Amino acid sequence: MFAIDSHHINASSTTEAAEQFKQLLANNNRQFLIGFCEASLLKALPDDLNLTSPCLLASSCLGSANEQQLSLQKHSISVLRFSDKAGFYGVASSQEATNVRSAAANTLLSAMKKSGRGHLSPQLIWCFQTPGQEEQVLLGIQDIVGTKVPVFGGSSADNSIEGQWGLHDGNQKLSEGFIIAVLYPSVPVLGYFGSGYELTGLSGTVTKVTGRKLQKIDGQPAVDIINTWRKQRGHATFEDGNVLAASTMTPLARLESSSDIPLLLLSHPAMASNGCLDLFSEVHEGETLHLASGTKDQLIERGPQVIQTARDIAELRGMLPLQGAIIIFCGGCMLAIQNAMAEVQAAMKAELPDLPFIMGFTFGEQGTFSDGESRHGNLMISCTLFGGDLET
Amino acid sequence: MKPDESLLDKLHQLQIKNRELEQVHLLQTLILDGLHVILTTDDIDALFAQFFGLLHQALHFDAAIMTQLSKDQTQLLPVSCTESDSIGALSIVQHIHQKGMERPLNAFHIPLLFDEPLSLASPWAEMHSLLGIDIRTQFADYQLWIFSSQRAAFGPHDLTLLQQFSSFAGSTISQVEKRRLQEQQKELQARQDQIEKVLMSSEKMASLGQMAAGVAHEINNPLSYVLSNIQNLAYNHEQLHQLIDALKQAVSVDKAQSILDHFRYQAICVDTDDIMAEMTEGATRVKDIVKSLRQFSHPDKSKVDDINLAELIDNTLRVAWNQIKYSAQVEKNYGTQNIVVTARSAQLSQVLLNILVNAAQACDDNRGLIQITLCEDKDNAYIEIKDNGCGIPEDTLNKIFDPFFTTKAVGKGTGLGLAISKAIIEQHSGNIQVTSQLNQGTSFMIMLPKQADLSNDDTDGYL
Repeated sequence: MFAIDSHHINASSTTEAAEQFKQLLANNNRQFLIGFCEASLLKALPDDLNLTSPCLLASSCLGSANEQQLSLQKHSISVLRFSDKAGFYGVASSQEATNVRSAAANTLLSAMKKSGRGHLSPQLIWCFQTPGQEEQVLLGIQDIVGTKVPVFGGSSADNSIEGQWGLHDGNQKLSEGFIIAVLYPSVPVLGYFGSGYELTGLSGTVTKVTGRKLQKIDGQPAVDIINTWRKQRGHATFEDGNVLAASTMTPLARLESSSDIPLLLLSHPAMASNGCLDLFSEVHEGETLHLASGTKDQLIERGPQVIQTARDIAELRGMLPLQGAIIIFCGGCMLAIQNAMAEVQAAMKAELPDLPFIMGFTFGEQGTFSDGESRHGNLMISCTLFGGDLET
Repeated sequence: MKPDESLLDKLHQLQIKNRELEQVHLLQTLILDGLHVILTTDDIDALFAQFFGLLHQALHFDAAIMTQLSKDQTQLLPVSCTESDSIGALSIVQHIHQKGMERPLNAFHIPLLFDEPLSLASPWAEMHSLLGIDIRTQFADYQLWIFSSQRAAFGPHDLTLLQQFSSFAGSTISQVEKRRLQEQQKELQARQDQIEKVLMSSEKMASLGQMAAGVAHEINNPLSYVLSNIQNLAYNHEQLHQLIDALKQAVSVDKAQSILDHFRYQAICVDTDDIMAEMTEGATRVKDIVKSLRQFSHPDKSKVDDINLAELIDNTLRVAWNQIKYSAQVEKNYGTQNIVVTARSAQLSQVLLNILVNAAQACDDNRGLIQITLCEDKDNAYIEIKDNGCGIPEDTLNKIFDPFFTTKAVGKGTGLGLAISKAIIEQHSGNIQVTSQLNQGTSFMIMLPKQADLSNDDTDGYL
């Protein structure tokens, strides 16, 4: 018998919220737990949550939501608990910061081993990581299970891009690193990954980049080129400092075209300094960077639309009735439409009537695109659905 | 939402939905083709071998094996394999089975399944990925194992497709198995009915045999004294005749002649001789019938010996030649090898004589041809006696081995010849079959085991 229930806790103090969470976890007999937690609350949680079941939590920008409540600017935590005695779940984590790809591969194998399914391909891989090495984590995962197993997840976030993000694997908190969960649920599962942006027609070639620090486009300082584009589109130019909010409606995009249909892989600029831009995803020299454009209305509409599309696919696969969902909403997008998030949450609830779900706000999103490949991107929204119980 | 972004998003949605529909189409094609294969293939091994071909349309794989769970559920037994050498595959799947790994199973790197490396021959040593799925039918548990030399070759979609196909295959094979079982039950029922008929016929024949023996015994006693008395009567009649001749000498010839004429002495004498002859003939015929009846119920037990069939047939032909030579020519196809059977030669000779005389009578126009063919296989000898005579009507063909059945004129046959022949052949653990076409001819095929066990033969005819 498969069942999911969601819980949302919010409080004005981290101590109070942590205490409520502790009570929720008391006598926990579920098989798997996943959740999003406001960054300062996560720091206030004990290292050992005294759980026998696999668990992973990621810090979420400003707060989190479930189908009942949305809490922003509060110390909140939203968790989904899975009762699934016929399913298998495993979680493992790593704080490795240098050889991330190899560490991710080993962490995945460790999670599989812990799940009790040995070295069998899972139905779904979920990853939470601190921002910075998402591409390497994905590569490490794909080194082991190839590209056919869907990978979804998000990068932990804080409230003001101060590096206060963190993770919790049930036994310890991680200020840097990643947690990988392998899911072999007894029900079918699927995920859909989308964004709400379009190309402006403005583009240039990356000529100098170091990791995620974009230095030059077409041989010119990256900020200069982008500011030229922004002027042409009527946007204010970037000044040195935090540009996350300013760039949310005008991110950079790469066109992935492994199929006939172009895919926009978005990069969200975070900080500008000395003509360089710090991004939330990697770009490579020689790649064409486009200026993408979005609107608040697009972002407000996009969340429910992603869920609707995921539901349509679930119906095609015969997965109905659905049992629950995990929604990842880009933290940057959320900040841009913060005042409309209650409306977004209500629209999502309408798309998932009477179903438990949780939503977290991340600084980087991982998911499987329409071409079947899992990638890391920014400014994305994902919806992972758990389908009908096969035993019933 | 602006049109460009909206359109692009729609395209992505359609791309995913298209892939889902392709998956559904693929499954439907698999199911349709699978159904055709299931319905047109009787042998389960061949069926699964064809499944491999079908699955190649939907999945990229390098090798596959189908196994069946042994009755004690400890072993996986090979059913069908794409490769000539299935030992390596069996080692892998047997190991998985023994470790209690449940199916469906999607292993991305086979070596990681084992604590210690397995020593495998090619191509199994090069296999990395493995899909395993159960196919449960009503009567057996099968397992389908799909191998790929690529690491992490299969995704959740592949496993789902295989699960759906195996679910269909299991239920459909169960239905077909059930239907075939019903057909087999019908066939067995028909066979049982046939056996019961034969048994009833055998019982009838046995009863007839008993009755024949009884009748023969009952008739034989009075017949003995009738025949004996006829002989005595004939002797007395002869004596009386001589007495009257002597009296004719002693008294006046004229007077005596007058008296004899008055009593029609001469006519009475002739008439009495005729009556005596007819009585003798009739009684003799009754005697022959009784003899046949006794033989039907108690065939003669001549000596069991190794008999050269060609010699036996030639000897029988010499006996029957007078009855054959005016009706038909005889063509012999004995082959080059001597065919020897262990049998009672007198009984077999009697069978052959019956059939040969019948064949000659069926020809009866001097243009007949009787073909005698001898052949053998490892255990049995076969004698075919074929004529081109008048043939036997279809409605009487199945009665010719019945006792007292005859198509000959009254008094020309007892109707026991072929019944006795059949009894003799069956006593030799053989069988005799007849085919005939009206105006085309008749063929008798006798099968005799080369080594019939006649040592403990205590059955007497049909008794």
